[in-house]
Amino acid sequence: MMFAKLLARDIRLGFVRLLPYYIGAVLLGAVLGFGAVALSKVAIGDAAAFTLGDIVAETFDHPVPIDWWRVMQGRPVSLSFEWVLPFALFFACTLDYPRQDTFGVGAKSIALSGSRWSWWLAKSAWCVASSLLFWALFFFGIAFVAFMAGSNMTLEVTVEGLNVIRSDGSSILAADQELGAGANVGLFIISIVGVTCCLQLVQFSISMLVERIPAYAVVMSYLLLSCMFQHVLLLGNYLITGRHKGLFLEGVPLNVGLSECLVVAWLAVAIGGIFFSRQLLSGGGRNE
Amino acid sequence: MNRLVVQGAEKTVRGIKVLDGVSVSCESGRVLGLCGANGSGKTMLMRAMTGLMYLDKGFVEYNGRRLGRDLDFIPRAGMLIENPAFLDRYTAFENLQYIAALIGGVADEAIRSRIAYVGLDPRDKRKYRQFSLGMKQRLGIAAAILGNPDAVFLDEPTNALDESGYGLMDRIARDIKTRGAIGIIASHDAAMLRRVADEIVRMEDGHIIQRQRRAVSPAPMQNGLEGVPKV
Repeated sequence: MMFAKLLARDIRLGFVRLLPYYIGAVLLGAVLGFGAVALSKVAIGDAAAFTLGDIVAETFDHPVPIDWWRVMQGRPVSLSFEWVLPFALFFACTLDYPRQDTFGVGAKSIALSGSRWSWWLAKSAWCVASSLLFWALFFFGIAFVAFMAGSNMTLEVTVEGLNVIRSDGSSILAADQELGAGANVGLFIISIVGVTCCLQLVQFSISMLVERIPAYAVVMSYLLLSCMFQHVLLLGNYLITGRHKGLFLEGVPLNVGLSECLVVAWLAVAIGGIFFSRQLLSGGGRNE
Repeated sequence: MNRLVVQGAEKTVRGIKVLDGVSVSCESGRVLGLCGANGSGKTMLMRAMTGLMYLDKGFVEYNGRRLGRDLDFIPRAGMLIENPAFLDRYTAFENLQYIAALIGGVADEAIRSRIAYVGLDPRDKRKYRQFSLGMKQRLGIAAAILGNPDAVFLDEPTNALDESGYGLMDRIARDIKTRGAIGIIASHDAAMLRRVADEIVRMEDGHIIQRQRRAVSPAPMQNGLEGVPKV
């Protein structure tokens, strides 16, 4: 019962605080969707040639952050900002509220809850709920632009769309990489939501025990570094189009990724909760 | 009858011993005053009593149940620890509504009553960020006594209050004793504590240096406590 009260409170208060981020999610989705539609227009001559699936695949297509072969050839280090931006915004959105809520009136709510674990679990659930809403709004932004451009609103990835993504020069897809039968981005979207919710809980735990900025730095650094190598245990791989088994036969399987996410999320909540259960709480206000 | 006992409390924070063998107790219908200068350990002791901080040694028990083992926090406790802090974008009433939702069973009329009790206007539409320091302090006190808690913890409650603050503390202390609640008030204002507390302990550098229990007619005091040998 107290868990439900705390979660209801967090949703009401947290939503107000996260409103700028949610607006940013819609706008960013729309901007990135527009970029993909523009690519379709330039490459194929038809803004509506890409399906919604193609647009999502293009948005989350991502080169290796540091390609040493290219660097040795004298080319600069490449970083796909369009891939990084959604995650940079996503992980920033739940940085402030949980930690701020341990001071002042928030500290009162912890004491009134009667249980540090109830408070911790409610906050963890809030992180997941906020994450779900963020992605819903982000993909709504993409879908809105796709709809307005007249794209086919199917989640399937087309061969034409794939060829344009490859020729864009930013793809890590091998030329002979084979599309899976009926490849669509539905499972890929599930992958994005699952992996980021899991990493959100890791960031939440670190931010509560250490500080917000180190927590953010740890998670973003892990995300970028885990893209360097293709491996089923590196969660960053599940966020890149070209490495997803739902789209390409050689990709990382979703079931392994989600299983890993469940384990990591559980560990983050459990370990963080244990430390939080003994943490010194100020009780007073502080200047933010 | 509720009873709060602190026995042999010790705590070190960042290498500094903030509590050193502190033992106090308080029962229903009584007010315990914690007196001392800044940094004497009053706030740390209050944090330990409320469950916001767990001790390195010693224990805090509430009705025989130990904090950190049997309980995380004292049930039905109201607190004002350090400076008050609320939600900037909301009015006094809305802020207390959020707290009341967690307490349960506190009607809107009771919230308005508490706001008026501490000298604020329950119909005031100003947001918390527009409050003066005194108004913020009063709202903090209102939050601490909202829902008639069984234990009330007030840390420097008269900070930023004008002279009417003494009258407010008198009323709160009387209410605590009448309802049979436990009252713990920490303050460097010995004069205020003499008016409201049944027992006053003076703290310095994390330990208790003097105790005085209120007699029927308390003798005039100097420096807060007089005629009582140092502990």
